[in-house]
Amino acid sequence: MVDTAIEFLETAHMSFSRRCRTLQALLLLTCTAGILAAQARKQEPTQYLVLQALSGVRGGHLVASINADPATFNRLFASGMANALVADQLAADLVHINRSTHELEPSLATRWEVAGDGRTYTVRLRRGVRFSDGSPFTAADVAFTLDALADPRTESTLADQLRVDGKFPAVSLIDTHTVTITLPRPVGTGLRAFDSIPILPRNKLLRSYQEGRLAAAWGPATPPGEIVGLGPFRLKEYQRGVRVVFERNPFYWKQDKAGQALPYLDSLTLLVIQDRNAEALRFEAGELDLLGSMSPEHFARLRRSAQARNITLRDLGPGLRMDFLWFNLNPGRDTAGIPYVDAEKRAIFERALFRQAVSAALDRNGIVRSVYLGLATPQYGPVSSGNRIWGRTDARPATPALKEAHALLSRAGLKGTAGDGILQFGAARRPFEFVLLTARGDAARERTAEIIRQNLRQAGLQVSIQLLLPNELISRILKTFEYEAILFGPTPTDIVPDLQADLWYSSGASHFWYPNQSKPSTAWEAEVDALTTRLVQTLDPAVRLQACAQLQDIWSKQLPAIPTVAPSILSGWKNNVGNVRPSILVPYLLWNTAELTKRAP
Amino acid sequence: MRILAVILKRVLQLAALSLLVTLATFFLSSMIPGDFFTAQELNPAVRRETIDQMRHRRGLDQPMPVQYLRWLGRCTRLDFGDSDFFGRPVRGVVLDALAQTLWMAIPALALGLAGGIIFGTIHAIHRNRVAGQVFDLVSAITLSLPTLVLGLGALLLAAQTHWFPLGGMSSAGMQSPSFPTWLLDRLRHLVLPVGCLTLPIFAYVEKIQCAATQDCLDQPFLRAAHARGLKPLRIFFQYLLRPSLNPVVSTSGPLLGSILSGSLVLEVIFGWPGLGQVTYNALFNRDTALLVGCVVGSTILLVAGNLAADLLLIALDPRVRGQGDTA
Repeated sequence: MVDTAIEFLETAHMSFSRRCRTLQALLLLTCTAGILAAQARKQEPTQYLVLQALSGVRGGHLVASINADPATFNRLFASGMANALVADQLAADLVHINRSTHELEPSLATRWEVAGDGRTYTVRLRRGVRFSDGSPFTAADVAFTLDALADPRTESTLADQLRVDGKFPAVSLIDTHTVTITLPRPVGTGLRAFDSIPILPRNKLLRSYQEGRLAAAWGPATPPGEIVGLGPFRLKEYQRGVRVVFERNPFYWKQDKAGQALPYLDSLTLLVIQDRNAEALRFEAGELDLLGSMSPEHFARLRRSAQARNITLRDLGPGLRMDFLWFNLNPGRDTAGIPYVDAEKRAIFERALFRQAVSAALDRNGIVRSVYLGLATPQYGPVSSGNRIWGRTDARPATPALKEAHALLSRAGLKGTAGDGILQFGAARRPFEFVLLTARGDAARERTAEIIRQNLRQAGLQVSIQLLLPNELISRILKTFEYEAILFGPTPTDIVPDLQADLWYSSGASHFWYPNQSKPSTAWEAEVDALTTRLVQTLDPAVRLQACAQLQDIWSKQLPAIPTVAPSILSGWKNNVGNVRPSILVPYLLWNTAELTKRAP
Repeated sequence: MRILAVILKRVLQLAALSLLVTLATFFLSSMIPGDFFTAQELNPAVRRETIDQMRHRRGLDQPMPVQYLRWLGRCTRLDFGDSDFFGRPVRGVVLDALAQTLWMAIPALALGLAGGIIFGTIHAIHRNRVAGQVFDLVSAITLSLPTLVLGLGALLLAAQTHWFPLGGMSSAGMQSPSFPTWLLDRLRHLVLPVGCLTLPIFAYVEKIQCAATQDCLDQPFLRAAHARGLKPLRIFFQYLLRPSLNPVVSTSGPLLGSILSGSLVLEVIFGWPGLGQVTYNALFNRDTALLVGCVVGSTILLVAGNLAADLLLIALDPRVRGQGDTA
């Protein structure tokens, strides 16, 4: 009986204590909620970025595609077009390049001023902005991101975008919404390099950074709710090899002219479609709302039925990507002491007259017609004519000038034939032949190489084509230097030529025809070096434009790499997708997803 | 005992085969210049030092034997390294992909075997009639069609008719569907890739089954069964079908190999995120750790298939069981 009473009392006591603890917890929760609510009330109103010319209807679901799976959701580590596109939906930068106007515009920064020294920028940040989890954005997040980026342990390739002469800009906090960024020296492009540098949430990622696992923090296996950013969307779902689904970020800081918060879309789905043909067919079947770039064959086929399919097709003109044909001018030797190129042959390659002859013999219009079905533009300078601000658009005859080519080749020392029409060179009068390397698996390049072979055969030069896997080709260009001639081309990511400084400088590793020179091997390369320095270090736009024009003049005369054609960017979208502003910069149509609208079909 | 011996033999085979194929994959891939980071070297905005640092951290600057031994050391802890392309541990990527491949492989194998056995038997019985000649022609055409052509043809058919989805695993617009809706959608997406994968298996099995049935038809035990007055159905199942299945069963294990090679092409064409697609990505992006992981995954699947075929053969054929018992 007593035992029962004691047991009853103990139970009653435990029950009472449990209730007390529950009450305490509830009280604590209420207080915390109250404090948070009060803080939220106190938080200053969001200083929205208002897009004056924009209007649209809220709602809808847009489906587009990417060609590879994302390896990360952190923009700091995203390499490759597909991964960058995915990560860009979740992140925002301080300043942003408008892909339509190519101007640098405010983003998380409302404005910035450059000091008299030309290298210190005071950047004012947008107030009242919140991350996608509702936490506030302050200058501490900017400092955290840039500090992490500067840390070599972070191993972000974006860090190199900000480095000037190998040094990282210094960042200091002025107040909660002001930072100063000091560049190591004046830079012609100003803060342009800060485009696409994502501002990361310090509170969320500080620990991962301190533990040296920032790169792994937002991987493909991370639960979507863990990924926080300032971009127009939040991650909702990721299925490897299938799709990435985003939902609207309710805290996004952009508005249209009517005060409507962006993005307009409720959700965005990016389907992972590796095969380009399958991608075009799925656009054709109506599964995709837009397609940033398609092959000339698909474009030509769809053009016939565009109206019936209720789609808009647009040839955006030549893009920034163009192919070059260049000869190996590197006088070095391999580890066995054998010259990369036969000395007599290199002596011919080194003559500008020879390169001019090759350029004159090329049937660029033939390449445009046969390879790109007319959807490409012949090129003559180092900057694509699609780059309307920096590129040269002066027209030249695109048909082959065989007579001129023959004359130039003769002046370059190639004379006489053994009856087979092949010109001879050197003391032993050997037939002049060389091997042209290009990438295997790139049908357009393979066909272009074949046309070049035929063109040069008519001019008296024997060319054999060798196809290599892209990695092997890159290895030959950058490391082993074992080649005679190459048809290939890098794809610039911005219109400003500064990004290609490594290509212009004779000391650059990307100065493909003869890289890493200790001092310029020719007078014209010395001149190009000086002009490049002027281009990248001067703030005055007029001086920069003039330097770039002079640089292109020298290039066009010397032709160290012979431009061929720039393929057009061919895009398409359904007519019920609004606010599409195509750009020649990747990702062509999806750079302004916050602004895109979708009407009912 | 016989079953245990077969399992033990296959497990030992798996270990030896895995060691061999991983060694071969490592060294063959080392013969191709470049690595996962080579493509980034063309970007003038990225410094060589950064790329070298990334290579160093992943041990890609070490000689290949060192890389292989290190990888082998990690394997003892069931850690197959990290995939640079997918940004995830290889084990997770491969297991996930293997599961997706099985969505295609199991129906393809089942349909191919069932169809091949049924039509192969009918073909053998009617070998001297018009139907037999039609079967001959159809299986010859099907066997000679490359998987790539089959896949692209199917894709074109889907694009023209809109009867089937143009690839992927699920419809783009589906938001949180119910289970039946999800299953129906998945099955619709499976029709074309499974169809393309099934056809060559079907044609191959049909040929083997036809030949095996023809052999059985000429056997004295079949005539004896008829002479004993056994019922036709019993004669068909016990004296014709059952003994004629041996060659098909023993080749069904290695058939998994052809399924895997077929799925390499089809998964890329149809955007099916299975082992084939992952292997393709690993190969073209020079993601060696992932490539080796895929090869190990395929080897496991292949050996498991052979083991299943062996066990099935033991269950089906008393003569094989008998060999084991005497041994």
